[in-house]
Amino acid sequence: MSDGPPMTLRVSLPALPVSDSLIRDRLRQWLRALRWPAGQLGDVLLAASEAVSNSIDHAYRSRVPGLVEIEGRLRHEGRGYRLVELMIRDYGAWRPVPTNAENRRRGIPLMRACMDEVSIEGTEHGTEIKLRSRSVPPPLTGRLD
Amino acid sequence: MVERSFGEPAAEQLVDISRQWVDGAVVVRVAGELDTLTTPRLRQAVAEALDDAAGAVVILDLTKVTFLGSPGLAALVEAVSKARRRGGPLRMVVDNARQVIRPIELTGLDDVLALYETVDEALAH
Repeated sequence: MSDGPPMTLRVSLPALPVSDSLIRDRLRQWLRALRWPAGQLGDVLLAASEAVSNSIDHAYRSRVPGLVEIEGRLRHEGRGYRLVELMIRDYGAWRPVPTNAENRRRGIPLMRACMDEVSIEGTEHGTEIKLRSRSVPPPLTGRLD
Repeated sequence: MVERSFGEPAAEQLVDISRQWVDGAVVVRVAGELDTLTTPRLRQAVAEALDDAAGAVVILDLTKVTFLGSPGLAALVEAVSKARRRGGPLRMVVDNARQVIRPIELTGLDDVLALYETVDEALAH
């Protein structure tokens, strides 16, 4: 029996601007291996990128960046439907959002529009954003073990 | 997937921006990703294009953009304000690329940005 694509994803990187792109690359690679439909794949990348860039922009006050981590998990929903759950985490204390931060005004609505569920939990120890994607139907051709 | 080892990232590798005069307008072509890392380059390119244009039409060709997140959206909105202050039109070409149109529509910016399907359409307006 051949190995199927991995059911989980885990990436941990310094919270630097380039990590937004690196994490998207990994996530895209993972979802393509899972044969995610293109439209939904784009939505997952968009939402995840917003969550990651929140950490990059706000999490760490010092000049040495802390980590931003993303965990992804595939869930089976029955009749071949699947969804992914993502957790984006940092360990910093978010700086207060500046009032002219246009990004932040759009980032959270974008996450909510692209995902079925979004939860944002922040404490002085860090922030965790959980994203639950829409369910996608099984790919039309071939079996996915 | 592009192999990229951490420690050698450069915004220049992830987004390519060029500018040229076409039929009396300044056309800025953007190819690649517009995210946290690369958006500052877009801001710089827009500022330079508006300077260069000095009131002539500026067209942003976004048809080869492969990712557009909220930093990029914010830069596009700022570009519109900047262009208004200088008195020249700013038009954006998006054809039907889902990864560009979806974030624009989801945030209601299709009402704010002057969107065209081709550079020719934007020139002919």
